[in-house]
Amino acid sequence: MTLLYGEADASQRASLEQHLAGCEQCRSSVAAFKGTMGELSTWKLPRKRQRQRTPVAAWAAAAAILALAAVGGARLWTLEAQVRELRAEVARTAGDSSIASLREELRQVAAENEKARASDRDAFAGALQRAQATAAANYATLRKELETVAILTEAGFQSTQSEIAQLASDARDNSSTQ
Amino acid sequence: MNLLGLFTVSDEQAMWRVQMNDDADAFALLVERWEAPIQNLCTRMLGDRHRGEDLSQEAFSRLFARRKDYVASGKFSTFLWRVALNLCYDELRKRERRNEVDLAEESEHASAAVVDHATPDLAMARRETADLVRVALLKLPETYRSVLVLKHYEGLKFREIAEVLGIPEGTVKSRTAEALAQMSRLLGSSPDRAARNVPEQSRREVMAL
Repeated sequence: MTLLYGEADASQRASLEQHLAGCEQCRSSVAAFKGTMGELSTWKLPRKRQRQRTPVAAWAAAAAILALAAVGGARLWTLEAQVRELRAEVARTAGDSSIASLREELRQVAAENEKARASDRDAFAGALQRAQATAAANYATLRKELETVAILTEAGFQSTQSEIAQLASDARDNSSTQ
Repeated sequence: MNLLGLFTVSDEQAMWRVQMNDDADAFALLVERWEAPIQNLCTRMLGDRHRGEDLSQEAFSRLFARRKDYVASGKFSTFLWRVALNLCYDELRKRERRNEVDLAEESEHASAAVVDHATPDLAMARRETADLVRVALLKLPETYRSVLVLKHYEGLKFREIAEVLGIPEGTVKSRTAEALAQMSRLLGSSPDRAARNVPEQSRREVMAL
């Protein structure tokens, strides 16, 4: 294969060619392989990118939607996990006088959430701006799709935030019954 | 992105920018350079130009979506070939489950698109052969098909293919030899081709060639 595909170095080539000179079976193998390789090569495809289909702007945009959805999903999951933990903590510590520190944890989770969303939005906005400069038409469709994703993600965050709020009021209730 | 960027920024540098800064320009550069080869890989693995283009688009979307997972230890292209090839394997799995293998072979839309500047007769003969090749490639087991496409059509070195697939270089060479031998048998159905079938020979001898 190294000879046929041009990867044999000078000494390998020399010794292989010497062998071929004396070995008919190998010679006919090589001939047959070359014939097949020639047939394979009849199926040509363009080597350069052709500008008929999707412009790059739509690419970066489509991929960015995917990314945002993935990130949004990942953050939602983290928040839900944190909410579950806090819920368990509240159940365990009903009657515990460290409710104040629990409230502080809840506040921190909410703040982290807000920061994360903001930085995601910035990263995405940056990528999107550059994509927009190249293709305005695609941008219009993209905008609509993004809004849908943003709404869905927003809805997700909002429901998590209301769970956190509920948890905080549960914590307050617990402490007031002591 | 300026034209100079096309020549001076390496794939790895561009991918770094995509990973660190969500750089859409750098991403565009990578698409510009690699869309055609990736489309061609997918087209030949699936025997279908349209599906090949779809999968190629998915490969780049996946590349961007998973940019944080990219580890810059090997070549960028190795990573990209692997992403695309895995998508091809997934698609072939789906087809198997849906029993679509025959459809791909017979579909009019799927016939081999040929880039050709020869005389009409020669071009016609080539198109026919090209389509025979397309159908024969689909009959080749995937592990042989992938090696042959990467080696013969995309011109990757044996060592590069070994890295993409995570197998030893020797295995790549023996799979290439086996793939060629099977293709010659598959293509040798017509009488005038029969004489050119690769004779049975010990694997080690053939591999060395």
